[in-house]
Amino acid sequence: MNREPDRVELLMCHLEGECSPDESRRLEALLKTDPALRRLRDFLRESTTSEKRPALYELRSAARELSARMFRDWRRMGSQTDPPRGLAVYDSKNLPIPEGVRPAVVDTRRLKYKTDDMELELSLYPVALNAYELVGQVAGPEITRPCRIELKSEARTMAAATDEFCLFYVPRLPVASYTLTVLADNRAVAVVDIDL
Amino acid sequence: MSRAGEKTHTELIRACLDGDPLAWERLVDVVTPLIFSICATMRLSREESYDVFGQVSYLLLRNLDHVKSADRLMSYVATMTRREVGELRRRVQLAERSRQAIKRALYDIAPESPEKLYELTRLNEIINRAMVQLPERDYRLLRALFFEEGKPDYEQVAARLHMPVSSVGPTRLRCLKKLYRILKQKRFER
Repeated sequence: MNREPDRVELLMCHLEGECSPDESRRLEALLKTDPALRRLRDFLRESTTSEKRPALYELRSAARELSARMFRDWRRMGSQTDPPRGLAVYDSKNLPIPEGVRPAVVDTRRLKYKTDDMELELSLYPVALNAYELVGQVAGPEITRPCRIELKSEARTMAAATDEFCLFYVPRLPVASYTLTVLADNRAVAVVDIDL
Repeated sequence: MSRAGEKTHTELIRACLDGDPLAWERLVDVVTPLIFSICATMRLSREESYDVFGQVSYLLLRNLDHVKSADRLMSYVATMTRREVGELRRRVQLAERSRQAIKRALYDIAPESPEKLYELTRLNEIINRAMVQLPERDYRLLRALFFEEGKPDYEQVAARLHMPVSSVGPTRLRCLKKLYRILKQKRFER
């Protein structure tokens, strides 16, 4: 280099192991007095040790799918606040199957829904080609005692009661689109849509 | 330094509030690297990272009208991500401990103190806050080079950003200089 390198050039040189001892000493002195340069150095150093990062790139499409659905449901919800409609914040169906895992092994599905005051977690296990076993749990400040769960589809209505841990169980839930309502003291405290 | 990035993000937030799904998609695209980089720093698994992503997206969507600028957006997302990571860790503390032990055994990663991990997430936040102040093209290049999995493939990055491979290196340096100037100018202290 004919001209004297600026701070960022010097830093890059150092990170690429191309600095002379003099340049390294100069950089060390600069780093002591320049917090912005230190931050840039820390970031570059951390981000180049990529083996520390799990493979998150593959999550991008799952994240996009989930957030698009969240937005769609949010818009559909409009100003409806009573009962509050839950938005899906987790759906394992969107996650790519880890390399080397046979699809049958991960054929269960986990779903999470959220309202401002409640969280609903569902685990679905296939028990037949067209039916799931459902285990769910409700949590939130309004859920202080066992409540009732109603699952309505076009063809049927099913119900379950939560236990003292707010867990509920439906042994056989036929594949369909459902509206799940959480009722506490006979009052609907949350509604979510589930597509099986 | 261009302020175009900030305007774009402010407009995106407004468009989201008006119900524009493409604006939401774009906004999510902007915050995703920050969320996942914090999750990666905290050594979360992909399922846990996806879980945190869902929670943070929900909170962002419900609080969009309080997030007025690009800088505030990144700061809010970083704070919520750290909070949700903390929540998740409390919930699965026991399982987490054994998972960390396995990860350490597999990847030979020295355990880092909570303070160090917090510092790293703060650093990610600051860098992301500075990055959104960059012009779009510079932002996309740095994101492709530093926030995607594994070692960056310059040929792929060049093809994606429609630029010659030979100019990726020099452009990267120019972008880093701009980033440095933003870091120096804005400081990003709380």
